[in-house]
Amino acid sequence: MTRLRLILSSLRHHARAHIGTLLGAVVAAAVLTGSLVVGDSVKRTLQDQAEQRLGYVQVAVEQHDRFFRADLAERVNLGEMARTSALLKLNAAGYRENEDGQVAARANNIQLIGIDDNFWSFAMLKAIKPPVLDEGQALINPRLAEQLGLKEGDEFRLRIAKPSVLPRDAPLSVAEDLTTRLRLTVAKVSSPISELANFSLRPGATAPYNVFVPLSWLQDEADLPERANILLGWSLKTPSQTLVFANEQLQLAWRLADAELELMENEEDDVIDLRTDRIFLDAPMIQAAEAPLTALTYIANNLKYGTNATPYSMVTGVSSNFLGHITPTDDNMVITEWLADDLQVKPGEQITVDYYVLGLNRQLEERSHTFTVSGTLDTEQPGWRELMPNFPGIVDRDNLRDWNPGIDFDSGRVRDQDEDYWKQHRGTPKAFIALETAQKLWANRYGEATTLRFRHDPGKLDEIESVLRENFDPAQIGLRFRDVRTEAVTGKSANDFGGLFIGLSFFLVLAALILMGLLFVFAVEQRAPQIGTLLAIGFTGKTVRNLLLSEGLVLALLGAGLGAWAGLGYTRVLVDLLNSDWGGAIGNGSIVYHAEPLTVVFGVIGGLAVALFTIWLTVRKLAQARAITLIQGVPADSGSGHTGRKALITAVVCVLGAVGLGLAVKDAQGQMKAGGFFGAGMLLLISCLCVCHLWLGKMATGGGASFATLGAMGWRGSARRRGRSLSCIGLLACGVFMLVAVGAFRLDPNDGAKERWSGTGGFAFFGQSDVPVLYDLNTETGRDEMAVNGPLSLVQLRVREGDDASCLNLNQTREPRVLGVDPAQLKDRKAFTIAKGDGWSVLEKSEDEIVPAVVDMNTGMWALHVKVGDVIDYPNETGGTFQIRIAGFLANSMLQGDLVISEKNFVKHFPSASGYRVFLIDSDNPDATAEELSFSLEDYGLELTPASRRLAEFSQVQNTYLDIFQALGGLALLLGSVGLGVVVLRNVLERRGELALLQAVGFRKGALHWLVLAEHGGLLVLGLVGGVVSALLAVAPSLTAPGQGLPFDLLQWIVGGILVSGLFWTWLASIAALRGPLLPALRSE
Amino acid sequence: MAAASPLLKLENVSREFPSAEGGDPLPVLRALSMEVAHGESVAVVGPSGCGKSTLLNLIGTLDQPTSGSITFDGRDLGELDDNELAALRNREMGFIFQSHHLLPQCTVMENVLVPTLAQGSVTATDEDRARRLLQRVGLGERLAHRPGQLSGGERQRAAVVRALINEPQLLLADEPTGALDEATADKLGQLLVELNAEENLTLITVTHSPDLAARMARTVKLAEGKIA
Repeated sequence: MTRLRLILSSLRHHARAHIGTLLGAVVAAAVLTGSLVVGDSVKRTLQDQAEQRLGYVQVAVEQHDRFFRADLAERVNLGEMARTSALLKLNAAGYRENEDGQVAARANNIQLIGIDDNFWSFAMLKAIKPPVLDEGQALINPRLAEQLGLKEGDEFRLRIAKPSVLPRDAPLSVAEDLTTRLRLTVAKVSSPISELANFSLRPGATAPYNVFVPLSWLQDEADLPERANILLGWSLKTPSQTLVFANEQLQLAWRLADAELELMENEEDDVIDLRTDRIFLDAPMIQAAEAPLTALTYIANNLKYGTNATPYSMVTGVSSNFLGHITPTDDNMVITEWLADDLQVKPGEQITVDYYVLGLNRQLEERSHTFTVSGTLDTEQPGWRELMPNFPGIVDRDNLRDWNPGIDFDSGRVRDQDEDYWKQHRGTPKAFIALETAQKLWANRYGEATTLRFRHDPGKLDEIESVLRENFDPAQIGLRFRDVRTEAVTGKSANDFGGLFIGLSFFLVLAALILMGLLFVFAVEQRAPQIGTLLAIGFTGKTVRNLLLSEGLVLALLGAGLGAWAGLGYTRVLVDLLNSDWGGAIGNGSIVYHAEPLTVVFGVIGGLAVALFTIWLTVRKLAQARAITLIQGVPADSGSGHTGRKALITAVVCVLGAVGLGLAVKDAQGQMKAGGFFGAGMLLLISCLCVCHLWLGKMATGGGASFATLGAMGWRGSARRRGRSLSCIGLLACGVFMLVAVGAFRLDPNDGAKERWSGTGGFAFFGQSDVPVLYDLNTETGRDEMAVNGPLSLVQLRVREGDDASCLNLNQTREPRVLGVDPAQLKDRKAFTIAKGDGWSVLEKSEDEIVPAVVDMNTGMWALHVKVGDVIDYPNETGGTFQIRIAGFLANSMLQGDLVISEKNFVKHFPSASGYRVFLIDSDNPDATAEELSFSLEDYGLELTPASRRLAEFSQVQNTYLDIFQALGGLALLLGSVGLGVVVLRNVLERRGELALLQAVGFRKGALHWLVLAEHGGLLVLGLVGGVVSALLAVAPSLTAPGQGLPFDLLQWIVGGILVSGLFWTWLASIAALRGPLLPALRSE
Repeated sequence: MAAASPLLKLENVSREFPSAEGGDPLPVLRALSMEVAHGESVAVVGPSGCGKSTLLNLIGTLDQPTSGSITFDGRDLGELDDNELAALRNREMGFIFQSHHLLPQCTVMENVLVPTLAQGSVTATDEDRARRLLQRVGLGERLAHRPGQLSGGERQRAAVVRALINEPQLLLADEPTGALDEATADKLGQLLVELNAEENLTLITVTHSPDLAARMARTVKLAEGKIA
């Protein structure tokens, strides 16, 4: 005989009694393991997706609105067996026509990717030969094939925003010919796994729409010869090592042409000029070049002296020594003889210069500045003609009258002498001013000079290039590799899904544990006399407790093992549901089932720990148990006055805590307020349970209700086993609390959808275009330019592409999309509700160069994991980073997933991101607006989504999680009501003798049923009332948020459902227990 | 020659129980004093509620007196902690209850050996003694049976052997024959007397049975918490 044998024989003997305990442990461990394995499944899914979208790619350069030379891929040497590939990726909108030439299917936001053979070295090709593409042929990915209904050999069309080296918003750029159409034939629908069909450098909620075409063909079509904007890299090293090495190599390999820079050698004029097709040279470049001479040339609409005027002339701001002995200063102007003659002006007299500046949305504003003529020079000198940059629409024109600049141009003002000048001197400046003055007038976010000039010497060209390459960091123009692999293949999700599902299943675990604890207690209570005997014959309370704990350990171990196995099935069910009915929670994507052995081990350990802890809670008092009472069959757990006092103190402390917490967070905002009130509700719930504990204690000693009725007698009965009764009340109250409290967070996207405070901002549509709109559609001029009819009221936002940080994307995102908006437009409309922060005006308050941003609260909390006041680094266009401070949270808005900053800050940090691509559109007649805009902006790939639908898509995620929580919570409540049934059954069975006595003294069986129902119905009502009251307090602050409100229907269903289910189980248990003759029980007493 | 010191000495032992609703405590034993010598057999008799079982529980260290002292083999029980009391009950006292309280999951042999587990593990000597004692009480053929397979008398005899397994000095029996029929009760009474002599046990039994009381060397009659 050993203790182990004693434990094992006890387990064997009490096997039936332990089945319930074991089942409880199995359920708890299964739910825990299953939840953790959901995390594994999400992780594996994201890893698979990352592998599919990246292939072998480790590092990549991705330029926004800039282009490098495609041969940079050959110049960057990443070592032996390394691979590089240059791609040209453009945004496109696509459609397929039916036989009648009508559009049969559309897709926006397509990645049109020009590739060459090097691209395939990054794919995990199964075939030896990669797919072959001819001009006009395309490989498309399955998602696009499905969307457009395409198969091999089908034709489809794409419309692309025709890229421009000169940003479309830059002064004097031409806003014409913005799009181009391509006709393509599907060569093959490529495979996502082996042919990199879902290639993307950014993690997304779903696979992108991809079209692969030959690189050279796309370069021709897009008028970007030899250009690319993505460079992929892979080497034998680890991604982080490759990254360091690749950037070192890039620094060595880049050429001026990769930065759209050009050194023009003019031996005749004895000069070398540094110029750019982007017209304007930016400050870092100017600094790096260390050029002796700098010029900024601009177009003057008019040079006026009195009534004389010379139209459309170049005026150049020059640094000192540029003109030799003459240097214009301040507001002085040196003019050419031709101009002096034309205007009949002499030194000392004043010339007024009229010129255009371009506003944020291509609004032209004509301004003037007056200069004093300080000198006269020859009409043309060597090297002057080249000072005119390659203004599009000008540089290639034979006649001045044929100019088509990006400003209002009146060819009627062109005189014959102007035409002659153009023919003889081309863009030779007619006047020179001080560089500083020119920069004050014409410098812009794109740059502050148009020419850097060097004296021509033998070998000077190479020297300049070498100085430039040494001084200039190519990262400043976005030429920098980043590690796109490391983070992607870790499968890190935006949220810990294992933890999330443990949270969602929390109540189910709790219910299983409480049920398990109850059943274990029952099993132990049944053995009270035996336990008492063990104590009497010399076992210490601790030894007896440890014996029972050991039994519990075996049960917990068995339960955890079986539970882990069952948990894998639970995960499969959850994964199936997430891929179907609960798809809304994962943005309607799909996840694959995957279990890591270590996770299952953690599940087993977790299940074991919680089960053992629960069992310990139930037997811990045995250490102080008294043998005599146990031998008499009285269980160890019998309340005392002390616990009553403790309960009273706890109840008072909790109520005070709840009031204090409520007052403390009364004026707080957002998460803190919600969390505070939730905490207050929880404290109130604990207080309710303590009061119940006290009250039951009072009842147990007869100090409660009178004994006048059968019901009162029933109430008294409920106090006999305070622990059991409290477990029932607690289980029900917690369940109701959680379900009601969480239900209040359900969002109704239609709630006040037309109101400004709502998540739609009161807008009718959310529009996104593939091609930026350069004009303000609120103005008549802008609408005329865009051929939009009728008045329109909308808010236009600039877009810097980034990761989708909405809750539809499971991936962890580091670089969300940035939107630039004029805050005043949203402020004036009072659009959206700022849950935390001081309204839209916060966007205008920049401090210490930190850019304030407003973000949707869900995006902030769950995707970016930031709070208001946090500062994050964000890459700017010049290769560095700038800081963004989260200045406000939007409540439940359709702007989820984006960082919203002011337009002013946007253009400062992303000067090349031209135009507007997101539109918040007001409309009283949505159908007409949609029809008009869809027609007018068809070429821009405008996709209009009704604002309420967009909001509903986001709300669906939250609501689906609530569905999951409530479904699992409902399951838990079912367990809870089963627990109530078990308690009833146990109580009644224990008291059959007592009930038999009542029958013997004349009570009918019906009355006994009523007694049992009254006793346990009371517990049910106490649980429900406690839960509901606490929950209402918990959700009070969130009821005022847009789309949220008290879920009366849900409340009715939950309370009604639990009441009916509880009464059903109680009734069933009383029927089972009171079945058959009771009087024999009396004899056995 | 000095008189041999008693095995058990109770001096002015009182036991009160708190009443419900904060009323006056309910006295059960009132300043009771008595001595029990080594090897003596004592029957404690008296009407229901006179404090017989309470007295037995106090002697058996399952309860503590409200006042007074109990000395066992020269040791004041009030000065021992819970662990020492448990060890004392295990090594030097044996209990027999009205109901046998055998562990249903264990065989007769195992049930008898259970007390040896309380302070350590079962030795071969323990097993020999268990076998011998069970043989002695007529359960030699029932070693592998479980309590459910025994008659009421057999169960109670197994409980007696369980009480004797650790060779206690004092055997306490609370209505040991209360749940048995007359013939079986008679046999058990005889067994207890024989064991008292054979094992040099001190035996204190609480009983309503005049026959069992008559078998003891001394009878102590209690009334209203005092020795009458």
